[in-house]
Amino acid sequence: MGETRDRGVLASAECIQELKEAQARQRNAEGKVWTQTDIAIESGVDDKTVSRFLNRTRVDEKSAIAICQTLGVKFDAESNPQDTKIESDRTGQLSMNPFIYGDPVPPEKFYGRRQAILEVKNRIGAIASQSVNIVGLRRMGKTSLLRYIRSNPTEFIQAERQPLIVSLDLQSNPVSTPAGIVEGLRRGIIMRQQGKEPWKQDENDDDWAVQDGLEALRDRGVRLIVMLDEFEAIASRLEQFQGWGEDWRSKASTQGLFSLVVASKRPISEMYQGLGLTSPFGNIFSTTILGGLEREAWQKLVRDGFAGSKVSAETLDWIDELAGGLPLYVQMAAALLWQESGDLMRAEAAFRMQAEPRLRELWQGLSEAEQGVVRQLGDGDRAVVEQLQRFGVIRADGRLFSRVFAELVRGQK
Amino acid sequence: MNREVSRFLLESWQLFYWSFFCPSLLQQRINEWLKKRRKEQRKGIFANSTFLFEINFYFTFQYLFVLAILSLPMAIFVSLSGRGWNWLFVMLSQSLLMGLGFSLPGIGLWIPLPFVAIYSQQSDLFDKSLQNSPLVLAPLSHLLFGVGVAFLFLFSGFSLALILQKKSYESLAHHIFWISNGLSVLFGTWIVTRDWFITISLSGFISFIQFGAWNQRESDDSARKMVINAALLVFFCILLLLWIHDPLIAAKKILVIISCLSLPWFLFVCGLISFECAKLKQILLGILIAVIFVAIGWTKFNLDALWAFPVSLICYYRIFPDYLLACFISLVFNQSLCKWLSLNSASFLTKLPPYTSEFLWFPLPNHSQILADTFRQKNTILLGLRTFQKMQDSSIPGFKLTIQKALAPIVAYRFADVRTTAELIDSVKIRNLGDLSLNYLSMYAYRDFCEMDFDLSDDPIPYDPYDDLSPYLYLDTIDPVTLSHPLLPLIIPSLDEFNLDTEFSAPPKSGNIEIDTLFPILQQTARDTTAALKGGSSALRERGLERLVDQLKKLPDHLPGLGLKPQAVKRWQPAIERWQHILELEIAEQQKTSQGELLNPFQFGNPLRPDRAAIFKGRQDFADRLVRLILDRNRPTLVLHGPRRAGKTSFLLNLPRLLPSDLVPIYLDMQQGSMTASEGDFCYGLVRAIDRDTRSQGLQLPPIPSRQDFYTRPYPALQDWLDLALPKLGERRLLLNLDEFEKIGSAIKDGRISERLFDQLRSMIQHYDRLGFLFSGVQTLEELGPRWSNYFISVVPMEMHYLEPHEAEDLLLHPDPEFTLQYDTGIVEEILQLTRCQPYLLQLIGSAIVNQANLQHTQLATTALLQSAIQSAFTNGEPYFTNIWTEFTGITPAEVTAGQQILIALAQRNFPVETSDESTAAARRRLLRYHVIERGGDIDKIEIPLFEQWVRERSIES
Repeated sequence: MGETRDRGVLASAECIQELKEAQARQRNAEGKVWTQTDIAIESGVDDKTVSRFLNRTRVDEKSAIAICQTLGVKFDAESNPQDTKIESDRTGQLSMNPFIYGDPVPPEKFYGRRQAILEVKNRIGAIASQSVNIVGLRRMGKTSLLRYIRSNPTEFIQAERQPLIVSLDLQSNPVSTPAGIVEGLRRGIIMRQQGKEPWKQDENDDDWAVQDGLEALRDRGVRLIVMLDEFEAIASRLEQFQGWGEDWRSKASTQGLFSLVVASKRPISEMYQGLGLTSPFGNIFSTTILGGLEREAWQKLVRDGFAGSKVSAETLDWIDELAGGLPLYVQMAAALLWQESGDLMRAEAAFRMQAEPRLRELWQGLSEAEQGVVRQLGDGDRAVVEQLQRFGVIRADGRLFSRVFAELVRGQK
Repeated sequence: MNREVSRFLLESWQLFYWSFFCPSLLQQRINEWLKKRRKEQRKGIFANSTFLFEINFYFTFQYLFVLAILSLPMAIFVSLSGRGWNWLFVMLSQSLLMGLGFSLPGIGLWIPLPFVAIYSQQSDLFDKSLQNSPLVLAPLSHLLFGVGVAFLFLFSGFSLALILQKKSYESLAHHIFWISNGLSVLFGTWIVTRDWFITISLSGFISFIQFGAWNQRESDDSARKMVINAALLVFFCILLLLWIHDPLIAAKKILVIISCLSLPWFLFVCGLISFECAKLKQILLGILIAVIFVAIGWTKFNLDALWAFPVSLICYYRIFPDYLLACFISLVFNQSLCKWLSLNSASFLTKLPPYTSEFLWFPLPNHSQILADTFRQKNTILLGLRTFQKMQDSSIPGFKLTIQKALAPIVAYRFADVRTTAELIDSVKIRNLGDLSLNYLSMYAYRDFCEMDFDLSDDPIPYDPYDDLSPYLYLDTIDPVTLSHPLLPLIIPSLDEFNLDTEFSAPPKSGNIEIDTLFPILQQTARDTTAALKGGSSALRERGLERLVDQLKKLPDHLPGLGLKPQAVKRWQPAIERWQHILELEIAEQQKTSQGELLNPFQFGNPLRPDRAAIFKGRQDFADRLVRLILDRNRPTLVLHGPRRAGKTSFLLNLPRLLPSDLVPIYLDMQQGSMTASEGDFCYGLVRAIDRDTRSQGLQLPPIPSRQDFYTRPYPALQDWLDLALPKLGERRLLLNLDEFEKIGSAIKDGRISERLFDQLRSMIQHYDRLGFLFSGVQTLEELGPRWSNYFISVVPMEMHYLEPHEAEDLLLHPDPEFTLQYDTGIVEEILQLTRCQPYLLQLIGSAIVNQANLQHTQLATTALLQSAIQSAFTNGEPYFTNIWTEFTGITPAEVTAGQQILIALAQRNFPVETSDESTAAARRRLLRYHVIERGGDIDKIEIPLFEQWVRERSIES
């Protein structure tokens, strides 16, 4: 149960065939058929992962879905009894679990975040576009929000401002260096400009050419938004990013060539401090923190998932106790409850098993000061407590967001 | 009983009428009466079975009844002739008609008429034929044997095919049936004629027809036409070959029949045959038939045979009676008359083709208008749609031209019929085009459709032949599940394949210039409406909608330029006005619901570019001082310094409107990576910036040399260009503003740039009196080290810090001409005190207040709202606070820690703060230098109260 997620997914033969046909239809700037690297950049997935996926080797579901979405093909996993995520179909129960946990949710299943959406809209959709830093601990829905923005550009920016959104995952190999980012940006613009090259590939190192290309876009009235996911990835290649932040700050602010939407686990300014950098790169950003989902939003998510069945107050309380509104755990609790046909006891046992590694990951992602506050169950430095409340780890009443997490914390030395 | 009789008579009449004018309805009737239910339609080779295999007695009796009536004239002639045995011919003709009727009931019904024509002229023709038949026909033994063999093949093939079909071997069953038919004809013909030429020709022809019929089952209309054309071609080829083979016999056979007719009867027969051939719906076939008839009649009638040409054409193209009658109706019952008589002109649509005749080769006057009118009213839209689809399905040109003409008015009506913003948005959607008024109509239609049972014997609600407008015939394209379907794709099929979700895609062309011009514009308007309604605030939404209303107001004036005629513009005017009206209503609605929701004009983070001049307040005194210094005889080098976010870059970007026109500011961002990549890049970037900023002031300077020149000899190239460019400035001076100038030092330190740059800059300052230099950064030249201060001797530092209180107040109160937020007593003063008029914090707090006011649906900033805004500002402005907290507290980690402790102590008012150790002293000096803290009498204090609050509430020690 659930183990298959760790082993990854495999696309069906039909799906692979459709993907290859879709790939053959795509053309890059040179008018040539997309290579696997093109797919990798566009989907924000490692090129090796693309290769494995297209050669029918297991990859993680998130990457599989991203590749399929990029090529406009509906992902169809190969059916294999051993891979079945749901133990068995039961009477009166559909075979497809409506809840998604662990992977970014598709835009059509995006719930809540009204405040965050409004804040992002107020930045990138303002009279003069500005940058925003979306901050949230692991699995808080940052990537889902980025995908939502990318899928609904006109919700954030008026169509007449010609929004052009390029999304880059800094964890992905092709765009893990400054040069890779420029190439990713170039390709992203080409994809959305129907093949028009802002600058040539061999001009990626020529900052003047890049500048001219971006200025031409700006002067045509195109509002370019560059979304950078997994910003922490630059930490592993810090030496390559010396000076990059200042240059991009200049492009994003003074020159107004584009706006940045950066998703990171910690605020950029805090990250820069941690990395020993003193660049004012973070100054141009507004910070939007993703904590728990609004109560109405996660309850609607649960109710919609159990469409047709009445969700009792007791069930909602149970989910609240386990998940505290954090999207991953709400989805997980609801999915397991669905799987266990509403048996709360069995679902909770399954939840404990599934959530344990993620909760441990969450714990390890906290700073020492934060861990200290969490250990004391909300007592301690007020600033830290409030920060953890904004991150959704501590509830307004001072309790931890999940009683399972509280148990795990109690077991930590 | 009476009802049954009248129904029988009416259906018999329809049978007769439809066979001449509406063959597809006749076919429909046959399909129904052959018990083929829609939901249980059988498939296979006998799907289109005739009553040869599945007799419906009700229909058969009606058919025979009509035949009897049509044969009545012949029976009268036979009775009058007094030849009793001629009744045999009546019976034979009846058999022939019945035989034809098995497969071609339409043709079968009109055959008696030429029989009558021939018999009335040559009553002894049948006598002669009977006498000559032994001479023409094959010997009886051959005849019987041939027929027997043909029947044997036919029967065995048919039986085998039936067995195979039952076992679901559809394709094999067809092939067996096909082959057995071919073999039966092949052997039967050869046995009878013993002539291989005739045998092969006939077999080939029959096989070809069968092949065509098979392919026709699943092919489209064009394929069917191709097969019919090919079959006709083969038929004529065979006739031609027969003529060559034995021209005398062929000619004689034809001439014998023709020679027996007088000219009027000949023309009657020509007309009748042409009339029937019109069912083939081939444009050129009418002319071909007319030529053939002229040729046939030439031998006997000479020039008079030419009459056959117009007669054939009139009958083939149904000018009489179909067109003339329909013309009369459409002319008489025009819109004006109907209006005068208070009649609905749409109701006359059913009195016109395609209801009264399926053959409309030429468009009728007013027909398109009558059709379009039906789309104007809810109660006739379904009728209009059905009529439109019937016409669309027809290949006859008159229908095509009519719907083409009606298309633009129909679409214009639909767009003019939108009532709400949602309908406006939906009206251009292709896939999800929730039709404006079709839903409940289609529900009605589908209720009928679902209850319809075509089997008369057990049908509780049988088909009502009196109701000619039963909607089921052409509504099977409407989605029965959702009971809604887009209207436009139904009438413009090319739109059905179009996916609206595709960004930047243009809709496919409909072939109508009005629609192809207006549809994309209205579609874009609808998209923009959607986007405007998703605006972050009501104020934004209102502005977006207002822009669209303006565009719509101007649209009619632009349309003639897009190729639309005045009549077309007039047609679309109501739709455009309607949209405009709806958007105006939406604006009013937004205003009502927003209760004055505020547009957020404040901007924090990015520097204010010249296009945001409205929120760039103050600094005029600063600019005036700048001018005075530049005009100073000593021409000092200016250094603009100040803490981060003090507004230095915004000031530099807005200099063009703050300085007099003879002083041209040039902005250089030294953070831009390319500027400090090398000395060549620096010089090239400098020239580019001068060129860009002077051009924006209307000056034309010499062209920029190639970049390579700057790389090979950076400074000479720069000087050469300046020597050419500066004289062109006239009396103007250039002020070169090097923002973030510290980056030059970093580039020198990294080895990207050599110290020669300093020499060059110094040289330029000294030798070009039209150039002024302003270095902008956080630090002063002295702080950057002796290298800087040695090179730039005559330096005047200018420190930029807070705004003046009245400038800050102006920013809070008037950030935008339409800004309507009111501040409660003392709130503005409190903000000024909290922020100390620091520009970034003013913008941050201003923005947060507007957001909070919108969230709380108020236009009054109170103390409580300010407190909420402060918390929000702490989160949104986190990078600013963290930057001060980490960067300006100290240089070394020890200093940073000490600096943060000082700030915490000051924020918590834990006095006095111990500063005896070196790190703490250094940290204190740094905090003082960058205006984080200040001396307040005997004790220090944090300069900006808002930052003090942040330290108290949000700071976490590093």
